[in-house]
Amino acid sequence: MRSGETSSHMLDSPRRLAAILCADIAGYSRLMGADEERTHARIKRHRREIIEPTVAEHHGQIIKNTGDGFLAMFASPVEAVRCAIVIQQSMIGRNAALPKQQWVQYRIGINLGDVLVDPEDIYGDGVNIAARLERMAQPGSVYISGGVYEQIKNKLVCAYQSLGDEKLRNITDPVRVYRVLPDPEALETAKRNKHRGAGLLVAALVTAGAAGLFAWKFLGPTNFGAVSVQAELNSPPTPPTAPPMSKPVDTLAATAPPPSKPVDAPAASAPPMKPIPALAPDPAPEPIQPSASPLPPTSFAELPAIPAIVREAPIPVPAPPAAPEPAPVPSAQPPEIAAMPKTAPERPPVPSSPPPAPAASSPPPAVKEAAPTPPQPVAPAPAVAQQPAVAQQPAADTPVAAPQTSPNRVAMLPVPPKPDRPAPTAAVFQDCPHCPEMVSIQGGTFVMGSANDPSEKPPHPVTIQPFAMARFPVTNGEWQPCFAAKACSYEPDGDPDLPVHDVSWLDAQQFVSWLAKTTQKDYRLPTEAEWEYAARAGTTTKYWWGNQPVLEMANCKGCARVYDPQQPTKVGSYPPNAFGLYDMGGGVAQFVADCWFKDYQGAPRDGSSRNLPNCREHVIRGGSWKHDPSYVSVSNREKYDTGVRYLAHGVRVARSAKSGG
Amino acid sequence: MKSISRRLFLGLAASWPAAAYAQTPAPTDAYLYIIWPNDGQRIKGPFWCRFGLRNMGVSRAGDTTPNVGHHHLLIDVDEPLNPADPIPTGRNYVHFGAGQTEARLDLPPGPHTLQLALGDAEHKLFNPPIMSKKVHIVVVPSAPQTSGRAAGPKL
Repeated sequence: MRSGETSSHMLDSPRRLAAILCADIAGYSRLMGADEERTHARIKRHRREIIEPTVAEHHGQIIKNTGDGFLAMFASPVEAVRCAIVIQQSMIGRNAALPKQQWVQYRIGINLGDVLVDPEDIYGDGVNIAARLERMAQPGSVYISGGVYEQIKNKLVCAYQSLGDEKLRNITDPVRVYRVLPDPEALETAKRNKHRGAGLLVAALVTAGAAGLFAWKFLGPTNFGAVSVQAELNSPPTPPTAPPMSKPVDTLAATAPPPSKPVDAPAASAPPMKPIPALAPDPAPEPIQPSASPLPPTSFAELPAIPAIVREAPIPVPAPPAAPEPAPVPSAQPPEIAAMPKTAPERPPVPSSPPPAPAASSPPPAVKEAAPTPPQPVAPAPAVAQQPAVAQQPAADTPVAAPQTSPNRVAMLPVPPKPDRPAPTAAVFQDCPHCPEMVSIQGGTFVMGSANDPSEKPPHPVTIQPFAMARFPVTNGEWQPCFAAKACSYEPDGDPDLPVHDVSWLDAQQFVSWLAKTTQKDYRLPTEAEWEYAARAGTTTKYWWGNQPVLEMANCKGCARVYDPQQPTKVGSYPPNAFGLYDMGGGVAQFVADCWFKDYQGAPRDGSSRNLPNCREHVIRGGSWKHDPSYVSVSNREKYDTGVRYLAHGVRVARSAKSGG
Repeated sequence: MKSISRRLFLGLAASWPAAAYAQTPAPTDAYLYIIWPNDGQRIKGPFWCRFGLRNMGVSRAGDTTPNVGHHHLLIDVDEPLNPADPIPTGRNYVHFGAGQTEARLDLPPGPHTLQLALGDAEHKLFNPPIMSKKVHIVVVPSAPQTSGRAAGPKL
C-alpha cells in the first residue's frame, strides 16, 4: 500500500489519471459470420474514417485496436465523452442506409481512473471498469461511470440517465452507471416509452443525432459537422408513429426543455426495461436475433424509461435540497458517494427537495441476494423484441419467500449516496386545510411484480391512468377530524405528525369515504397497481433507490440508525422517491383497495383494483417499520384480515385525477 | 448467544413502563396445540393446518373479552417473541385476527416447523404466554418435476 503510494508520486511514474474509453462492436461475430470480408473492410474503413480522426480530434490516443473494438485514453473526460458521442452519431449515419442486419454498432464505456501506462498497453482497475461498462452498454449507446459523470455533468449539454449502482465483476466497489443521451431532447424522448418497433430505433437515434448536432454546435470545438450532416441526411424520411399510448412517466422533466419538436421519436436506444444487464455475472455471448419484429403489446419494452437526469450548461437550480450533510466519506469511497440531504425532522417543504436515487449497492452477501434481474441477451439489432422476462427467469433461481432471513443479513452501506435526481415536477396540492397533501402522478405503463416471490409473479405490464397520491401516509393530525366527526371509529393517538397506525382496512375505508364526502372529491384507497407504480416512480429496481438496502432511506428494522419498536417515525423523515412521495416503503404498511389474491395470475392490466364479494383479506404494501428491509421493496405484497387492526398498519390515500388531467 | 439476547430482551421488557406492555392475563390451564399435522409428519403438497385451544375461547382481534384470543401461526420461527410487542407480521408470522381456526398452507419442499401463539386483542402474548408445542414437518415435492426446486429456495 505504502510503496504503491510512493511510487505513484515518483516523477517517472507510469501511473496516471486518465479517461479510458473502451468500445466494441455489438454482434461482431454475427456480422463476421454473415460476410467476413465485407464486414472487415467496413470496420477498417470506419476505423480509418471515423474512429481514428475523431479520437485524435479530441486529443485522445488509441492504445490498441482489438478485433472488434478499441481502447483509447484521454486526458479529459469531457473530450472522451464528446468523442464517444461523435462516434456513435457518425455510426448512425453509416448504418442508416443499410438493413439492420448489417449495422455496425459500437458499445462504448468510459471510466475515469488511475491506470498503469505501458508503451504497448494500459492496465488497471480503471481499464477493467471501462471494459465492464462497455459490455453493459446497449448497442449504439455510451455508458459512463459516476466518476466521469461528476466531471462532465455541468460541462456537456447532454442528458444522463442514471442506471443506478452496479457491482461489476471483480471490481470491489460498486460503480455508478449513467447512460449518455446526446441532449436533453433525447432524454425527453427517451422517457417517452412509445417506441414499439425495432425500426424506430434508427429514426430515434438519428433524430437524437440531429438534435444533438444542434446542441453540439453551441458546444464549440467539435469537428464532426460533416459526419453528422451525413447522419442527418440519412435520416429516414418518416418519423416514427406516435402511438396513442398513455402519457409517459414524466418524472423528471424539471430541467428538460418542453418537447417542442414535432417528432416523437423515442431515443431510447435501449429497451428501457432491463437497464442493468451487468447484474448478470457477465453478459453471455450474444444470442443472434437478426429478425426484428414489432414488440408484442405486452412487451416490457413499452415500459417507461427509468428516470434520468438532465443537465444543461447553466444548471437551473431547483429548490435547494436541505443542507447536504458532509458525509464522512473514506477516501476509498467512489467519488459519487458523497452526501445526501439530511433528513429533516420536520415535514419537508412543499416544493419537495430533490429525491435521491442513490441505488447504492453493497456487495451481495449471498447469491440469493443478487438482484433478480436476469441476464439480458444483448440483441445485436436494437429494440429487437425481447421476450418478457418471465420466460427468461431461470426457474431454479427464483427464491421462494425465505422466511428465515435475519433482518440484518444485508451489509448496509454506512453512507448513503447523494441524491442525483432533480426535483420532481409533481404538483403538490391540497383540497382543504386538513386534507392530505397530494401529488399529481402522470399515468404510464410499468411492469408490476417481480420474479422474486411467488406472490409477486408473474411480472406483468400495467397501464396506469393519471391520478393523485398522497405525499405521506395519513397522519394522526389528518385523521383526527374524521374521528371528531364520528365518521372514523379509530381514535388516533400520539403526535399529530406520526402516521396513523393500528388501523384496519375498514378503518381506512371509513377515512377515505369521509374525506371524499367532505371534499366532494374522489378520494379512495390507491389500487395495488397504482401503489406500486407510485412506489417505483419509474424505477425497475427492488427498492426505488436501487437493488440493495441502504441506510437511512426508509423507516424499517435495520434500515436506519433509529429503531423504535413501539412506533414509526414521523412522516417525511426519510427521502422521497422520484415522484416526490415519502415513505413508500417502511413506516406504516399501507392498505390498498385490492382484495388479496395469492399472485398476479389473471390480474387486471388497466390499473384497476381486484376485488371479490365478501373479501376477507386485503393487500397491504410497503412493509412497515417493524419489518426487515426485504419487506420494504416496491413489489412486496402482504395481506391482512380486512377488519383487523394491527399496530404497524396505516393508510395512504389516493384521488382520481382532476377532470382533464 | 440466544440466551444472552433473550436475557437482554427480558431485561429490557422488565425495565419498560408497566403500562406499555401490560399483558393480558390468561388461565393457567389454557392449552394451545396443533391438531394437524402431527409432529414428524411428511406431507405432500398444500395442506390444512388445524388449530386447537382448550380452556379459552377464540375470538377476533380487538375483542377484549376476558379469556379469549386469536391464533398466530409461526412458520420456521426460532426467535423468541417479545411479550411487550405485538406478534410480528410477515412471511413467517401468519395472523388469524378474524378468529380462524385453520389455515391452508403451501410451503416449499423441505423441513419446516409450525407453532401457534395465541394473541390478545392487540396481538400480544398473554401472561403466561399461550404457545403450542413446535411441530416439525417435512414437505415433500408433490411432483417429480418440482424436485429440482427443492434444493433451490431455502425456507
